[in-house]
Amino acid sequence: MSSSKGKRITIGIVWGVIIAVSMGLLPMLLVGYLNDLVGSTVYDISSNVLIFGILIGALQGSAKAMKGTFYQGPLSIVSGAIMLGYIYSIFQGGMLSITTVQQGSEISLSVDMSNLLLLFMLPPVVGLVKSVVQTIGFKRLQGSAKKKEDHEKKVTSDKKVKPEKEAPETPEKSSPEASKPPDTKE
Amino acid sequence: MVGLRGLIRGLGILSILLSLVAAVITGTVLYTVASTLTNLERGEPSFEVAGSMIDITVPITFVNEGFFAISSLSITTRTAAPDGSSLGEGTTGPISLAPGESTSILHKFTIDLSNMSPQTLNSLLYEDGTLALNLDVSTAIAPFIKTNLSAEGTLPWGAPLGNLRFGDSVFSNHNSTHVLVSVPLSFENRSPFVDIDAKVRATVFNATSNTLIGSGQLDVIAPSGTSFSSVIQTFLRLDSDVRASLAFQDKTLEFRVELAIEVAGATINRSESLSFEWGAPLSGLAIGTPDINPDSQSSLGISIPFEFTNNSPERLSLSLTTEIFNSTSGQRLGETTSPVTVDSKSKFSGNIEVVLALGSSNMISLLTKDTTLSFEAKFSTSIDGAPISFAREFQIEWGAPIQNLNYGKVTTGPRVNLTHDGLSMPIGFTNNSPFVELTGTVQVDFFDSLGNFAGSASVPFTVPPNSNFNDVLRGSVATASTSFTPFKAIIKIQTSLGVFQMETNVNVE
Repeated sequence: MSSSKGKRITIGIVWGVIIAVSMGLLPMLLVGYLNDLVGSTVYDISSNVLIFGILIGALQGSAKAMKGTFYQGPLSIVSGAIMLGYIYSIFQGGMLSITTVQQGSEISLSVDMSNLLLLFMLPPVVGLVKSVVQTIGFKRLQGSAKKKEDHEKKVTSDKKVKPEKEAPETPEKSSPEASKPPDTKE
Repeated sequence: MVGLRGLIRGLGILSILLSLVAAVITGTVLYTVASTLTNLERGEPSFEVAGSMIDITVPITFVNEGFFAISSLSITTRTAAPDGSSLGEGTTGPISLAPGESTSILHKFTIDLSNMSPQTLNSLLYEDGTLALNLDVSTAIAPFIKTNLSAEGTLPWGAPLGNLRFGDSVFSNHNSTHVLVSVPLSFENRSPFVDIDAKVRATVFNATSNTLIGSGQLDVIAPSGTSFSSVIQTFLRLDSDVRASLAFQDKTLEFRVELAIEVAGATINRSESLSFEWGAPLSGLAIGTPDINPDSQSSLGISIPFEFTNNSPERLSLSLTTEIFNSTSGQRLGETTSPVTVDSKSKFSGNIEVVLALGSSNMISLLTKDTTLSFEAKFSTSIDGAPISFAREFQIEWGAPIQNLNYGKVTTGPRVNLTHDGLSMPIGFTNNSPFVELTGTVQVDFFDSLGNFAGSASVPFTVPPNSNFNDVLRGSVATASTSFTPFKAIIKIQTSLGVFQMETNVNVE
C-alpha cells in the first residue's frame, strides 16, 4: 500500500516537472532564442507565462499524485482556471504584436487572434467543467459508499442475533466501483 | 453512477477533441499565412512621369497554397519627404484569394509634385536624401485571424537637379541697344528613375532699378543618371545712358535672374544674383587741353591729346571721328577721322589733329586781339556696331600774337648817296600767344607830307610765344623828302597767320 502511494507521488513529481518545463520554461527559452536569432525583440512574451506554467505543472503534478483522493478534483479545477490565464497570456489577450527591425526597416505585425484564442480556451473550459463534475461526483460516490457500508454492518449484526432464521450468505463485498475514486484521468 | 462517470469521460474526450481541432486550425492558418508570404513575388518597380504626377508601380504576385481563403487583402503605401511632409500614397485592394488561387496586382502609389510646398519641392529637386516609406498590409483569414503588417523603411532619393550651378556670365555686344549675356547652367540628374524634360525660362532684372531688361529660354533634357551642361542666352536691353557709360566705365554689373524651371508639370522658381565685372573698352578716357598751331593764313591747327585703356577682353579697333564747332555760333570749323587700334588690357595715348577753318578775316583779327576761343568737340565712333558718341567743351585763352605795337621817331642820316639819306625807326610789339611762335617781316613805307614816296625800311622777326619783340627798322629815304614832314608811315607786318597793316604819321628828326 505505501509503495503504491510512493509510486504515485513520484509519477506526480515527474509529471509536474514535465508540464512546468514544457509550458513555463520552454516557451520563454524558445521566444528568447527567436529574439536572439532575429536580433531584436520580435515577440515580447509575458513573465506570467512562466509563472502560470510552473503553477500548472505544480497543480497537475499534485493532482496526479493525489489521484483517487478528494483533492484531485479541486487541484484540477484550479489548474484549469490557471490554464485559461496561461492561454490568455500566450495569446496576449488575442492581439499579438510582433516588432522587428530588418535591414534598417522597422516591421510591426499585429495579429487579431480573438477567435483563435476562444478556440484554444474551449478545451480548458471543458476540462474545468469536467473537474467540477468530477469533484461533485466524488462526494456523491463517497457518501453513497458510506451509507452502503453502514447498511451492511447493520445487516451483519442482525444476522448474528437471528442466525437460525436466515441462512448465512457469503458476505457481500463492498462494490469496488463505490470505493474507487472517480476517474481523474483526463 | 454510470451516467456521471460517462459524462466525465465524455467531457474528457470533448476537451481532447477541441484541443486537437484548435491545434489543427492554428496549424493550417499558420501554414496558409506562411505559404502565402513565402510565395509572394515582388517585381521591379516602374516609374512613370505624367504631368506633375510620378507614378510608382510595383507588381506583386500572391499565391495562396494554404487551406483557408485570404480575404480583405489590401496594401497601402505612403511616402514622405525628408522634412516629414507627405508626398503621396496609394492603396491596392481589398483582394480575396481562395485556396489554391494566385493573383497578380499592380500596386501603384503616386507622388504629386503640384501639391507640394515650394520648400519641399526644392529640397527634393536639389538635395539627395531619403524618403520615408510606410507600407501597411492588412489581411484576414476569416474567421480566425486578422493581420496588419506595418513596415517603415526608407527609399534613397537622388536629386534630379543636384549640384545646380550657374557659371560665370559672359557678356558680349549684340547691337546698339542690346547686349547678349550667356549664363552657363549645369546640374547632375542623380535620380535613378526621374528623367528631366524641362524648360528653363530666365528673366533678367536690373538689380539696382529692378526693371526687366531681358529674358531667355532653354530646353533641358537630362535622362536619369546623366549630367547636363548648357548655356542660357539672354538678350539684355540696356538704356542708352547705361550703354554709353559701359563704353567708358569699368563697373560691376549686377543682375537678378528669375528662373522658372518647368519640370513634370510643376514650376520651380529660383532667383539667382549675377554679377559681372565689365571692362570698358574706353576706360578712363581723358581728353587733355588742346594745343593750337598756325596752319595757314585762314586756318588753325588744333591738337587734342587723349588717352584711354582698353579693359575689354577683346582687341579694340575703331574709327574715331572728331568734329569741332564754334560754341557761340555753332559753326562747324573742322573734322577729322582717326583710326585707333588697341590690344586688350592696353593703354592708348595719342593726339587728334584737326584743322580749324577760321577764314582770313578772322585770322587777321586774331592777330591783334586777345580773346577766349570756345569750341565744342564732338567725338563719335562705333564698337561692335554700337554707336558711341561723346562731346567736350574747350575754352582756349587766345593771346594776340601782335599786341602793344609801338614805334618811335624816324631818324634820318647819314647820307647813303647823293639822293638818299639813311633812316631808322624803333618798333616793338608783344607776342601774347602761348602757342604761336610768330615769324615774319615788319616793313614800313614812308610818304612825305606832299604824298610822295619817301622811302622804306624793314626787319625780319621771330618772336617766341609770350615774348616781346623790339628792334630798329633800317632803310633809306629820299633826301628831298626830308623837308616835307611829318611822314605818313604804312606799317605792314607779314606773318604766317596773315598780314597786319596800319597807317600812321611819324615825326622825322
